[in-house]
Amino acid sequence: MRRLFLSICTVLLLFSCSRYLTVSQVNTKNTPVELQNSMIDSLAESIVKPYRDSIKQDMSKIVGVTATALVKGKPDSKLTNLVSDILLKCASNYCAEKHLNISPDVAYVNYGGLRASLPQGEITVGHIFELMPFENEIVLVKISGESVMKMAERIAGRGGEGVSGLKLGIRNEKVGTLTIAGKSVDPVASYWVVTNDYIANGGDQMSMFIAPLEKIETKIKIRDILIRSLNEMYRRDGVIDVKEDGRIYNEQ
Amino acid sequence: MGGFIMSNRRTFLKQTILGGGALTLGLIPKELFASGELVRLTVMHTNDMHCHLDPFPADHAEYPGKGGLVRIASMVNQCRKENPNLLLLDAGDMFQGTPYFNYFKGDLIVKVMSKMGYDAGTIGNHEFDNGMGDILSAINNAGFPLISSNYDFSDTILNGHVKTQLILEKGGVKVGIYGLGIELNGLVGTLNYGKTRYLDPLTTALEMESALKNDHKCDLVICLSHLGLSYEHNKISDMTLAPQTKFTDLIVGGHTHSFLEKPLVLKNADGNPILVNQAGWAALETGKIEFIFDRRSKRKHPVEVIHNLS
Repeated sequence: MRRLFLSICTVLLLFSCSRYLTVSQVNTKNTPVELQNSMIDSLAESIVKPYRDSIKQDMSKIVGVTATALVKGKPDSKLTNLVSDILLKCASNYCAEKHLNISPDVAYVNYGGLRASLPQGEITVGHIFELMPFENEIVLVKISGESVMKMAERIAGRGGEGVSGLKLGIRNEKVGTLTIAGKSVDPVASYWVVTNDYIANGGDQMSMFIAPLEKIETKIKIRDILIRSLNEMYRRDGVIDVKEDGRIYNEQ
Repeated sequence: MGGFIMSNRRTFLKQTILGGGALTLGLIPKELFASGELVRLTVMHTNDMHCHLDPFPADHAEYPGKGGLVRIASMVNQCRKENPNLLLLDAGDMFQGTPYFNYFKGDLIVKVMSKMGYDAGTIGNHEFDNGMGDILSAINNAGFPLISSNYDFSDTILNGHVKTQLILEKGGVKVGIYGLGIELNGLVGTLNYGKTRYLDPLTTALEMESALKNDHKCDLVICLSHLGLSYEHNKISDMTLAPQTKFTDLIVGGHTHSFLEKPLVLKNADGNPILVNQAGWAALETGKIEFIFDRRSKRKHPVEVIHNLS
């Protein structure tokens, strides 16, 4: 009885000497940051302004003019096609310049790596920075046909991404039809794939690129090549008009 | 002792406000705060700001004129005026996303965040984009610590520069903070994270929260998480972590760029509520959570979570 009494006292004591402050009420609010509810803070602005001014001139340079907005989409899109084509072309030029006797077969651009669409009309350097903020560089990897098929499976599973040099029919999130230069892929042959260093290092779960047969790091920044290529296209052909060609399509 | 209780209708308000009335903060008698019997701690948080110091341009298709850390700075000032007991936190991916990062690395955003008085941040996957040298540079320039509990940097240049936990006091409330980062393998180039060892987030969380609550006697335990809110497949996320914790009161999340209308209230392993919140990305949203502590309380009080702040 005495022991029980002591126990009760101990319990009461424990409760009465709470070691912690206790929360009595919680109020919450998630607020969108908009013109109406927030002014630009003058102190923060005074820190940012000199930095902004210093890059403004670079960012406002006109790269070219587009006929239509180049919007990112699946299974393929004007934007994913354009960027992939530029990568394949650039890598081909690189190999020719270096006398490497390599003709890259395919380009792969991870969908998530393109961070914005391009508007219709004037495209500035700033727009290209929004599209490709990363410092990624072009990398060539030589992989087996079997690995190319794994890549295509991954692309199909994601509903399509950026490709050049291949044609892919997706059926139920799997590869239905796959051709490179009009031919089906030979699992034991090898292919040169152009991509970026992030992907070549196994980023985005693209493990088929991690241990390639051969690898060439071009050290060419993708953002730089996009700016240069689009500018060349614009100066050579005028307004940039990208046509869709259904290189990735859904099969019934 | 973890968490706080909200299921019971014997609410604190009914005990303190005679006659009841609308459940708004304004009706709590000011004297209770003045006398120190009640303490109000406001947690304001951001995530995935991706160097969006400026608002989006006025002609931007999705977010015309919206967002921007320079705007959040004024919201923080306003909030601090209303309650000086403000804890300002960030859940990672400050880096990468605007030319400010390409030209000035993470240094500019960290400079502005420091000036704004951020108390702590954590390390997101994009913090590794230019390698660990840039993380070190940011830490050296920051007026606030980066907390990461499950990246083991022992064999890297970040050894000794990243805290695994932070304890601070605001208005007499002892707050413990730990940080959880996402698996880097497959997400970040191997060269960029080098010999960083990835520790299991759940195991780490349970160790950290217990240490902060039971050893360090923190009144409030906050997890800064860059794990992501939730996934379709079986991958650890804030939503799968929260129900397995015992002493964490709030998970301030990031990575999945999730806009939540209001914080989610989940039940922890003991059946007590735990809040999970995330504030979109690109400085387009801020989360605000106000905890009111009752010094007179000798035991756990039931809690009302009310989404009524302006």
